[in-house]
Amino acid sequence: MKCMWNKRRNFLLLIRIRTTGRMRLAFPLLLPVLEETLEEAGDWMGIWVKLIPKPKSPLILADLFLQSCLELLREFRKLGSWHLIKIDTPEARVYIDLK
Amino acid sequence: MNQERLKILQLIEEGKVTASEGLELLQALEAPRESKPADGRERVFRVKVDGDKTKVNVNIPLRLVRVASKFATLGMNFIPEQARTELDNRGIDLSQFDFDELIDLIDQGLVDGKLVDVNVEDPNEGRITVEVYVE
Repeated sequence: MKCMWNKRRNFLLLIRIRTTGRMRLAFPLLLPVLEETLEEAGDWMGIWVKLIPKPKSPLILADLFLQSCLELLREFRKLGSWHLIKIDTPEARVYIDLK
Repeated sequence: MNQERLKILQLIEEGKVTASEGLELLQALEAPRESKPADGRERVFRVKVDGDKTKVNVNIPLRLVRVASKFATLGMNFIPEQARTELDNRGIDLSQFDFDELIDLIDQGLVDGKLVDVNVEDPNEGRITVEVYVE
């Protein structure tokens, strides 16, 4: 099946946790979906922000936070396959990778 | 970065550069900077904890650190007023802290190599080495 996303950019942030028992957890975050959701939220927030006269409203800070999240996410997607974090303790192993 | 912008605006105000030259300078300042050295390799901020039992490896590209630093700047808005006043009294002005400048220094190679290199002997964990560096 042909992939609907651009293959040159990352599409998965994979968080894997392995504990000493047999428990293995994996949280795959689909980056294109997250990006689109943040874009939509940013658009909505932008509408509300325009209606607010106060320059230091919490909503404006939330909007800035959202924009920064979006920017960070876009940088994540540009990065290519990358091992971000690897934690190895006797109790658990945690891996955060970009694919 | 703000100081650089202000300097450019001052140059325009004083008539030392034309408005269009000033605009070019401002655009050059705002252009996304690539955190890559001359050899084209991605510069990476690394945190390495190497203990007998625990091992941690964090590899974050510098350009990602640059974007993430915006969160730190934003986070400063959420510091309670009381804590801010206390820091002010101790001579620490957080508004003067410029993450962009710090990352620029690292980017330009002025802060290079090991930033932190700690060796400790823990009775439970054994020997632990903590290294924070950019390469």
